[in-house]
Amino acid sequence: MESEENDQKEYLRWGKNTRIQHIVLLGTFVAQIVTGFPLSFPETWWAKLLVELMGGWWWRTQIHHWSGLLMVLLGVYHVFNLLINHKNIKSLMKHKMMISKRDVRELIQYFKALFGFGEMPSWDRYIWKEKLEYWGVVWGILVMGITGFILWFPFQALEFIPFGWVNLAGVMHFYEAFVATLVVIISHFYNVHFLPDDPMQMTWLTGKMTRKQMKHHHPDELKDIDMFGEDPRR
Amino acid sequence: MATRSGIKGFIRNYAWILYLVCVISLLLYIYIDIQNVNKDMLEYHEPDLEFTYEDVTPVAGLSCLECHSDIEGADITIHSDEWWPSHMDYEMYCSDCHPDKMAATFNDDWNVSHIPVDITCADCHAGINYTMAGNDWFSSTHKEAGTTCADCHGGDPNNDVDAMSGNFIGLPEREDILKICGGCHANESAEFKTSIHNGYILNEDGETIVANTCTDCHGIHHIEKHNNPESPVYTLNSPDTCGNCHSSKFYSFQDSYHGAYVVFGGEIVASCPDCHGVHGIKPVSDPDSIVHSSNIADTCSGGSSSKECHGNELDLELVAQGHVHYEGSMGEREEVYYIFGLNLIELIPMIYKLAILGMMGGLIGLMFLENYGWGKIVGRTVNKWKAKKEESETEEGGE
Repeated sequence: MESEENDQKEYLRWGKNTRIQHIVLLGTFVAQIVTGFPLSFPETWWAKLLVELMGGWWWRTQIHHWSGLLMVLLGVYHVFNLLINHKNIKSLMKHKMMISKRDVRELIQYFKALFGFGEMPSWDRYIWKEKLEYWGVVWGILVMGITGFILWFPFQALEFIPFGWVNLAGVMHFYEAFVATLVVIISHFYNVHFLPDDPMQMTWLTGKMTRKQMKHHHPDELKDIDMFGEDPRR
Repeated sequence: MATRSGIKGFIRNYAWILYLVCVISLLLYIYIDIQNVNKDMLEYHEPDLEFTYEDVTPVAGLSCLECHSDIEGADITIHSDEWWPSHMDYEMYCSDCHPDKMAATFNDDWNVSHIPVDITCADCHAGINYTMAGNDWFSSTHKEAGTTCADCHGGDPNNDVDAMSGNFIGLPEREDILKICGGCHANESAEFKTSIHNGYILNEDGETIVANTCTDCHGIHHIEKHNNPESPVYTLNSPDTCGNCHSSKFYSFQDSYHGAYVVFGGEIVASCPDCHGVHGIKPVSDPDSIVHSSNIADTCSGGSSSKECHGNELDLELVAQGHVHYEGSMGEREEVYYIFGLNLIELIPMIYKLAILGMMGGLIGLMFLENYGWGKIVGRTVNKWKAKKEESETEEGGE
């Protein structure tokens, strides 16, 4: 049995850089939602209220465009930052966010455990849910960025694509936004705010996790840390 | 992680369910709200104007004339069958002109002298109790311009006894409206005669009727100038007006950026007349039409209006290759949507809808499985059972 004191020992899960990236993503995401959906449902009362609160239609357009650009720039910065930290592609491919065979094994074991066959897997630094959310954001920024730029500059886009694809971009932009909003407010909020095991985690603000939390959420990573020490690239 | 009891533990264990219920009800509310808005629009754009006689008769489905058809004067123009259809919309009844008759004094002193004779059109047709023709006319631009009843309806306004004499036509026939308006608005009526609106269509009963005429767009008595925000042909009101007939075009316009901006009262935004023109509207296939592919670049850049829309620096010829009012399929350039024989504009929303249902169902299902799944409950029971066994073993060992 480890002591109470040892349980409270803190480990750095996310450094300042990562936390700021997350907060920028959060800010731009909310800005996109409140400025985007009024365009899809202009006849509803909440659309009129939101546009009124934003200071009118001109502001709605400007906030939507520029926060979208900021979100895309965040994605570019994120990739740039990863490349700098990892020096070469080989090292980057070993990043723990990469999807591997281990995830498939863990997923099978997870479903078995849900139905009472065996224990939960010994999770590593990122569990399959976190990986899905991360790669979902990567996919989302790509789709929303490309279709968004087409809709921002439709006439310039016509130089490269037929008119019909502009309409298609509009349809995709709406549905992708809808999926992203649902995933965040239902799945992501459950995992980070409402998890009965460990609700209201403050890791996204402080970046820290106690040993007790690490043992529960990421036992395999804790084993690594005990053996080799913390990875400085947080 | 340690389990907690008490109110804190309860919140901890069940907060996510409460949250989920809140989120799903909010989404459901938004969905129903949107459906209602759509339904309202549908009702607005397909109005049911078929009033029946019974709907508007004042007492128990009877009109005065059903009993009093034998009374003197009942057969004069104003009491005839023509009177009802034109007045029942305004809920005007016999008692409005003959108040004493409705006071249950059914005696024989009723005679022609009771007929209110010294009246002009507006005496009845501007009664403050009614939303009537005269009231509408009083606030219209025709009043300011000095156009009076007789200019459209004929008759002699100076004849106190029988204003409906001479060339009185009453309710103008649909075919005649263009001619009547054209008496003053000659340029507009000449331009209208060149448009596709100037034609005949079949109505629901299979009768040939005039497709479109002045009053369909401009209203009847309450006619305002086109730059008055109250006018049905005001640029921001035009989608509602045109949508009365072109409802599918209305919905596809509403889905576009132009359409959303019109709802929010945009200052510079393209509405129906900005692209399609006004009186001389021609079909897209007509080379003279301003939405014909040879003219669309000029139209999008602002055309003959003073508006600065999309500017000439852009290659607007490319716009002409596509359809602006797209409704799932595209007609001329349909092939751009097809990849491996699949229509992307139908396929992509379908994939997304399936993904939304699948993902949300799966994720919410996992939440419940994680907390109340078989594994969790079996595991809990097994743990309890183990703990009890250990307890009893240690007790036995102690003894």
